[in-house]
Amino acid sequence: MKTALELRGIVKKFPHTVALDNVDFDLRYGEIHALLGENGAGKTTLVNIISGVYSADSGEIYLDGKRIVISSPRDAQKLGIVSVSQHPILVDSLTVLENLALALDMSPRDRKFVNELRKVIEGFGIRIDLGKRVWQLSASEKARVEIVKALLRDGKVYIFDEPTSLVGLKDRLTILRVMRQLKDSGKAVLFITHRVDEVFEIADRVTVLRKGKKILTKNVNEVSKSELLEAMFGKSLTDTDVRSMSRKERSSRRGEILIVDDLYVKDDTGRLKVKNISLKVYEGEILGIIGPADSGQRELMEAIARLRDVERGRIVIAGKEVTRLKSSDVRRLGVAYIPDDRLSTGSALTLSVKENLIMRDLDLYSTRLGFYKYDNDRLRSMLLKVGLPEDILDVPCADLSGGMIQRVILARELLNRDVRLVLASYPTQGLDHETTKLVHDMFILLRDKGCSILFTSEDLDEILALSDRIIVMTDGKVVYESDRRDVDVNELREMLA
Amino acid sequence: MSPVKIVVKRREKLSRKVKALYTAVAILVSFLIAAPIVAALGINPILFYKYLIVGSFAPYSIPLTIINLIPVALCCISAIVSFRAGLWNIGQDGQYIMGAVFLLWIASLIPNVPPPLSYVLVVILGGIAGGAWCLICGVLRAYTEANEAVTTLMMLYIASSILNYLCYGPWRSSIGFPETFPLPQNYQLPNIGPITSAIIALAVLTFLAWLILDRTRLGLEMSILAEGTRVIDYIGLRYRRLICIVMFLSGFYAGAAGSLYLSYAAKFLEPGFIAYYGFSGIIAAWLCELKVEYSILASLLLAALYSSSYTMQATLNIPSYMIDALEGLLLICILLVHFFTRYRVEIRFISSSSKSSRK
Repeated sequence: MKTALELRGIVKKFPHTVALDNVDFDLRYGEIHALLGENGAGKTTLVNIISGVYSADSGEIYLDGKRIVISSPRDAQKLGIVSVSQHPILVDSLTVLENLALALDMSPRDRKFVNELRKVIEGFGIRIDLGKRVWQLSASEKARVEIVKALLRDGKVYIFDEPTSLVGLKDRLTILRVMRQLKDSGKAVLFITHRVDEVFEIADRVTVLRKGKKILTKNVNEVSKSELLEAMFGKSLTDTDVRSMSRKERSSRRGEILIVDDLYVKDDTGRLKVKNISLKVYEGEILGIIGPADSGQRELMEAIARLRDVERGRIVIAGKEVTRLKSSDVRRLGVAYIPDDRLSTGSALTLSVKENLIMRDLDLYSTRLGFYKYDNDRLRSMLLKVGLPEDILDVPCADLSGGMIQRVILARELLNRDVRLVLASYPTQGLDHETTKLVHDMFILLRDKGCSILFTSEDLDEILALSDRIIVMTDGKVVYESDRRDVDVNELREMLA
Repeated sequence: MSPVKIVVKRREKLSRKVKALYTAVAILVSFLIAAPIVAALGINPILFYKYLIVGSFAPYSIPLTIINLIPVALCCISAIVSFRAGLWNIGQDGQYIMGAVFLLWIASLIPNVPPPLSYVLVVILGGIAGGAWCLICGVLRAYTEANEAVTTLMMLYIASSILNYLCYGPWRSSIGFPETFPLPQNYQLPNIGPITSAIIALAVLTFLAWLILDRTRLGLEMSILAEGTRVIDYIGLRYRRLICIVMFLSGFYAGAAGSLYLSYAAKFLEPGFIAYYGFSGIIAAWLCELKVEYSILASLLLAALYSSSYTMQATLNIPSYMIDALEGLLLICILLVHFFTRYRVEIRFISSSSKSSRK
């Protein structure tokens, strides 16, 4: 196979870290090459250098054997390097069609363009409504738009930056299929991921980065899972270490902390997304909700956390009806909410970590006259508890990585006050291994202290490892409910497939 | 394949010192650009620079500079309050007029309020009127999503028409000129030595703004407002109420600027009362990067331009429009610096041979 892209001795330094330390890498036509590593390993920096967002401090890049200089994303596109971003940049107020036209320098009224577009969408089997406005789309749907955008570009090299981290099961399969199709047509595909299983599922070769250094490049059929895990984390980790959680037998059921009764909730576009849902969460248990993406999980969680209006039905938390209350009211009842949208809901990016830590609990951090009082020691110890350095209090959240932002959110939601109910919407989605483990450990610890947790996930293993009870949600309805002990895993798999 | 390539890149964070240096360069550059324009008017640019400094910071010019400083600095804070919350109140001059109009009206109804109290009333009455005027736009924004940048600017023209109407109509007191009756004596802020006592009001109001924005819960909530509605809902803040509070507070400062200026400097209203201190305040707000603690320093520069424009008109016969032009240049340079502190522009020369350029 011919080499498409080759990087030699790439170095990229940031003020406090060396993001890439003398990295060599090559990508061939007709292969899917996985780039594996934890958050912060340097994967995204490498992608940014290839796609022209950053320039390397030193090192050389070759395309088809010729030395190239990529000084902007536009340059990269001209050279035939197409990237599918993890966080698609789309114009909210425009439709999907208009966004695609904008990105490709076409007119949305150009018949030929629209026909070609439809052909691509059908050819790759991507479900997308061209007339919808972007602000109405879920994360999964936005990811689909981004993929269509990439497919419309005639490239040589395709870069997929953690495309599966924020989408549901079905979209994941679509993305993997698209990558395979690209590979079969002779394109070079670079697939960035932190999931080891995905490497075995789809990749031909794999390169592992750890802390900015290249650890190995190997053919996938010549490498074992434990070898990859060791390369990623630097210590021997087996499968069971990654997943196993001490599951304390739940003691006899106590009171109900959350009652949802006959609930109906609409999404932003006015479609009914939660239809007649009734459920209960008991004290000291973890209830996991799984189901296809966009089945109303997000709307359900937002309604309970009181970020979204309820059409019909009742929500009772700790014996108090909260159906019409505000999020700050339920917060004061001891409810933590970890939203799936970390960047625009969960954090105020231009504000400092300190301000982000106190913003949901201003009642605790202000005097009667309305002045706020920072307890810096307490805030610092909160950061330490979630494994963050204590000197980042004054750093704006925008300067943190995704995993660090989630840690800030965890600290704020779980450590500021006594929490009785945790609502967590895809709390580990797109996170690195260490942060995922932290989330799991904190949930187990809280549960053992008598707190209740209601969470949604796309990851069946995670649901099985954490939950005391499991609910399957499809199309806005509860279709299955069972105790973890009585769950038939195969039955569950079939239901989700 | 063009031989020269211009590349714009995002920069890593700059330190505070470097930023300050950049700002100083911006100011200097805008002054340098003015030189050929002044020369074209047939005036020696060196003299122009001399009077720029003498006209504002010579001992006899300082009281005049301070007279101009007060409204500019208050309008600057008004802009900071709204810009920080992601709201664009750019109608400070309208609120400035309404503050003065309201003060003159109420003071004429109760002219005998004794001095210390009447001085406090100057600030409060003007502030309330300016705040209310701006609040109209706040309510429109909160409940109908009307763009506040447009409405505040439109309301400026309405305020300006009201001022003209009063000066030519019901409040006209002189036959020859469109002037109103003077502000009652009790409401006129005295001088302390050569300098107006309104400087104390400026100090107090600036301190209060800093306290509110940087030390209170309300200030934090206001900066969260700029982050968008999803975070607002997440925290459970009352979005509409918060918009109204921000707009009232922003208008309060511009209104107080107007009533204070009427009280210590203008004494009566005339169509020329509107001196566009508001727009200067907006420039100052960008100059100090929306930080209240630097607002007076930034406003001082703009105020100096105002006072030197008088001197220059008198001595060099330079039209005061020259100073307006200089202000405009200043804004452009500051905004450019804002761009250059966030992005880096690289110009690369690519030779036609295969050798590629290195940084």
